[in-house]
Amino acid sequence: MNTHTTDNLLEQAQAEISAAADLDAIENCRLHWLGRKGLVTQQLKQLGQLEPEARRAAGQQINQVKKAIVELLEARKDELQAVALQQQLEQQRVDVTLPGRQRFHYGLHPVTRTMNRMVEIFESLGFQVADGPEIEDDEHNFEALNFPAHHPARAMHDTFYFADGRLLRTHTSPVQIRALRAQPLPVRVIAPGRVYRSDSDQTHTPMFNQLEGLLVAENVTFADLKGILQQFVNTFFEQQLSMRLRPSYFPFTEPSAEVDIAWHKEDGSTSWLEVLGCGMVHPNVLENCGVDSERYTGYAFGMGIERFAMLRYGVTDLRQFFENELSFLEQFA
Amino acid sequence: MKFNVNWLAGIIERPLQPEQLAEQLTSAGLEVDTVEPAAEQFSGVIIARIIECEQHPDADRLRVCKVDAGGDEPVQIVCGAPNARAGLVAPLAVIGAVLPGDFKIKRAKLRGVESQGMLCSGKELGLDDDHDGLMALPESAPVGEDLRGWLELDDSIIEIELTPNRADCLSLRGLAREVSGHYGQSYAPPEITPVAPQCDTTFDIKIDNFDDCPRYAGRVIEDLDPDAVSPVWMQERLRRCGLRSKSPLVDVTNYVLLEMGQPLHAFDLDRLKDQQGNIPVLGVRTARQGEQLTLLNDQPVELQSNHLIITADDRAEAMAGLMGGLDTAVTDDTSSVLLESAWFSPRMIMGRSRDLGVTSDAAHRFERGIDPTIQMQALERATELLVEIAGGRPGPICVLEQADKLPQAPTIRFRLDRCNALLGLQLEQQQVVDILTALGMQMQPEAEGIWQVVPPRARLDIALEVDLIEEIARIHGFEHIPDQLPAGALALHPKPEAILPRRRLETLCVDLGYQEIMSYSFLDPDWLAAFELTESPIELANPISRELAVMRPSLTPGLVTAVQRNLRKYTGRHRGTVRLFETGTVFLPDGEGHREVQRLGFAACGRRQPEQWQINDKSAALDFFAFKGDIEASLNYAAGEVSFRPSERTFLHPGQSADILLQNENNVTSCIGWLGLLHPGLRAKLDLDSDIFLAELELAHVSNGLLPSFSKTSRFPSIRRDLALIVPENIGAAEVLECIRQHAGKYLKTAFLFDVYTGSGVESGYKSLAIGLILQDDCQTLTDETADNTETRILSGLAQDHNIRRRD
Repeated sequence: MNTHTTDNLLEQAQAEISAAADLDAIENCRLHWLGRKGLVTQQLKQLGQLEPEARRAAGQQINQVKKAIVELLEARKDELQAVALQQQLEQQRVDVTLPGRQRFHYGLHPVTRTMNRMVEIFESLGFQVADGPEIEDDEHNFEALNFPAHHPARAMHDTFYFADGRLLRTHTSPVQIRALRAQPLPVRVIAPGRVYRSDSDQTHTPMFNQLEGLLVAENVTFADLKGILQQFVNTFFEQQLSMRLRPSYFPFTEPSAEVDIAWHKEDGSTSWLEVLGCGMVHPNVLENCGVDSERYTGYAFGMGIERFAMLRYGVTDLRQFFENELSFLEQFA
Repeated sequence: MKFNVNWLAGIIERPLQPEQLAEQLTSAGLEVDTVEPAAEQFSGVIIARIIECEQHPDADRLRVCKVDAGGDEPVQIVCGAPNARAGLVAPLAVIGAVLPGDFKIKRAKLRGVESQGMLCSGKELGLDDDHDGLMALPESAPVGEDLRGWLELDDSIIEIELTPNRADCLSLRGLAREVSGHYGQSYAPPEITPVAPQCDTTFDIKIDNFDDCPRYAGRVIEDLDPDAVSPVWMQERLRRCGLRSKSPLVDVTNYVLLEMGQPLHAFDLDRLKDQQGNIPVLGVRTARQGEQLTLLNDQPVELQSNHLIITADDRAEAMAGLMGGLDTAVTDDTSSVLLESAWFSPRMIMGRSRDLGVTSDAAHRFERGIDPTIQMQALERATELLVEIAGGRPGPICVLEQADKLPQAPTIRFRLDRCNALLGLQLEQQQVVDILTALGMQMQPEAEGIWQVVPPRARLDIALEVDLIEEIARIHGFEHIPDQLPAGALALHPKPEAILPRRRLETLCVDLGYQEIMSYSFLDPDWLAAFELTESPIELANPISRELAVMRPSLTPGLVTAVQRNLRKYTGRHRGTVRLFETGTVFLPDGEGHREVQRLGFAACGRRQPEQWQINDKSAALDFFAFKGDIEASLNYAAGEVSFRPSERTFLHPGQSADILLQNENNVTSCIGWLGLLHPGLRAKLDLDSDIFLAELELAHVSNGLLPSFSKTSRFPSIRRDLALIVPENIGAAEVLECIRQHAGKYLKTAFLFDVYTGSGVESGYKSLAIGLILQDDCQTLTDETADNTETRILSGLAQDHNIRRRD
């Protein structure tokens, strides 16, 4: 075996390997050269016929050739694998702008959404959610709240009655009575929920939602009430809003106030919009609940949740909240 | 309450700017609704008298008038008004005048005859709606003078919406007391001088119960001139306060009502007298059940025993404080009257207007309570005005009263400290004294910073210290009370971890692809039968309409209504698909009373996924199992074992409906809801265009979970075995799985169903279920042999219990 022969072998192998077009061809090459009957293997087998001197030299030569071929095979294999991967990636290419697997995307009712937001804000101030029945008795809805029987103040509430004298609560204020009678002082509660008035036109629905707030403790002042309402309004609407309190009358609070906020309208003008009613809890109410009205004072407020939702989301017709039309509701998803 | 600013300004002798007054009233708690000018803008209108009135030569309906306009020469005016006549005094718009609506008066020829201006009707000047003819002014009106000035039309009308406690402001003098107080000056009403009687006609009064009527007064006035006309100033004040001028009698009673707040009633004396011509005894008593009376608005009333009435010789003639009777009402011919001025207890008047559907200015005031001191003064004032306008001879005032039964002014202990503590202010003594005395309160110092306060008797709303504090707050101005930042002891409230918050549950439903809705809590009773909700529903006594007449015992009708509406009206991207949920109260009868229960309801139809590529319509259609999957997802949190069994609810498809059962920790199983396909028969009846799946669950069971409790996991490998079983068709999958669990022994960790097959290879009457078993030992690696044993036990159990065998 001479150098010439081994060079020749290497050249041939090189040509064959670089001609291999795919991984199968590479495998064939490997078998052809390095397999059990491969050309290099045969050369190695023939070494035994040589003189010991020549055998070593020839052996070295052939092993070099073998090593070179292994390297060539590996290199070509890597090359081909890279090409194959490239092809696979090409084949697997998708239009990433096609829509993903779609699911229905709906949402909470805007009133629920607004109510949750209000509750979260007041909960962060330590108010606890309280509730009461929607079918109430006269005592909780009126008497205990300092509405005498037949008093004209009752005419402000168009009440739904049942044959047995019970009624649908006209406001969430009965929860004040329930909370004051049930809970130890100080009492700090909010009560969101449905209320009912027998009134139906563009600005009234026979059912709507209110959120009541009540805080009774020692040394509670009207200034505290103003402070918390201003903070609430600012937090709820995420802006600093001017607020004014107008003296008003609710039998269960005194002094009583209606609260307006300066609302910026789309046309750039600003006007006062009434958003809630409030006041200092009337001593008669406290006494009706067994609370010492000399020692404890408190404030209460009540707001229409739909009113806030309308302002917040720009809804103009109250009735839409209860028509349950998807074209309306899906806008709040 | 509507009033004109000039009248009020005259009473408190202080110029008032309407806009500023309005703001001031609102910020003192007398909410102003509207501020309007007393008359529309016009100019160049003077008072004129028609001297001559002749037919137009070329027009039947026109007259040519010679008019004295105060100048040297009369002017010629062509006029079409039917009431134009010589001697009539009427407004004249001269050349250059501008009438409301920017209507300019120019020299004009009407059918060839020149007109130097226009004689005007009240409507043309925007003063009233009377279009029948020229506005007739009194004979005495100064010809040539500017009408605007003479009528004081540069005035404003303010309407305030009074809260029910401020009855004291339902009169000009009451408003004067309030507004004067804003300027720091207490108002003193003028003294009224009694009118000397000019005849001695009197009458007897009988009051059954002085609690109902502590004071009843009246006087007779005879020989009034029925042709007299109310003076223009009075007519104008009435008009600006929203009342029409009628006759001097009616006008004067209305005027005194507005000025002083005392309702007066005038009986026609001649019609009141008995057949012998005697004046009957006037009585005040409660009615006997069923007594009849026709009110002067022609409304017949069957009186109730709680109605307070005025009687003549015991015959019902008027409803006290509400409205007089038709039989004794004054007419245009009335020449003698009996004027009534009384104080009726608000308790006896409250609610009558509403009960009978009769509103009156009198009832509005009596039910809120009127000043108990002014009954005599009001009679004197009315007499004075009436005699001035229509002559007549008044008799002496007759009165029956128990003055101690009238509301007395309370004496209230007022503490500055308490006031400041409640308001969060630091007012000085002088400040509160100034405010309260300006409002007419008498203040007697008791100690440093403490007074005994007596409010004016008209202020029936003031009885407690807190009432005085409110007065101070509103006059001092709410805007001057500081904003205090929230403070107070921090407190933690109970927060049970095992209960899924409502907000979380709602979000879960949204994430499952459902839109929340909010339905009314009342229903049309027709829904009840359809949904098996007939057990004595809770009915409203006074519903708005039949559609909203009973309290909902279920969320389903509301959900179905919403689906129906959206199937018809929704035309957005997901047309044909509606997926809704609602949480809320349902009302269930419970013995004599009721229970309010919170529920969670679902309704869905159409597709389970939006229309999209790669998903065909068939696989995207909502079916029982897709819907059930959503309901199961909402039940994941429930504490206990949830199972389903075929439902017998008749409004659901009998083959595709299930009751939902929950077995709690104590092994008590209860039904917590249902789900299913709306029965096709009912669907047709409801005219629904789609199959609808419905579910309703008890919210408490859905959200009451358990606190997680950790148990050790096995660290040895598990073995999975799959079983293909041939199962008789009538045996439910849940039964098969239950049977497997029963027989499996301790190594079975999970058994789950992963395929159901019927068709070729499975004989009819049977189905093939494929069930996966995960087996695991907690203490060692499970051997195949043990797994084989478990499998064998399961198979023999299935064969034994249900004749179920392995598929070959």
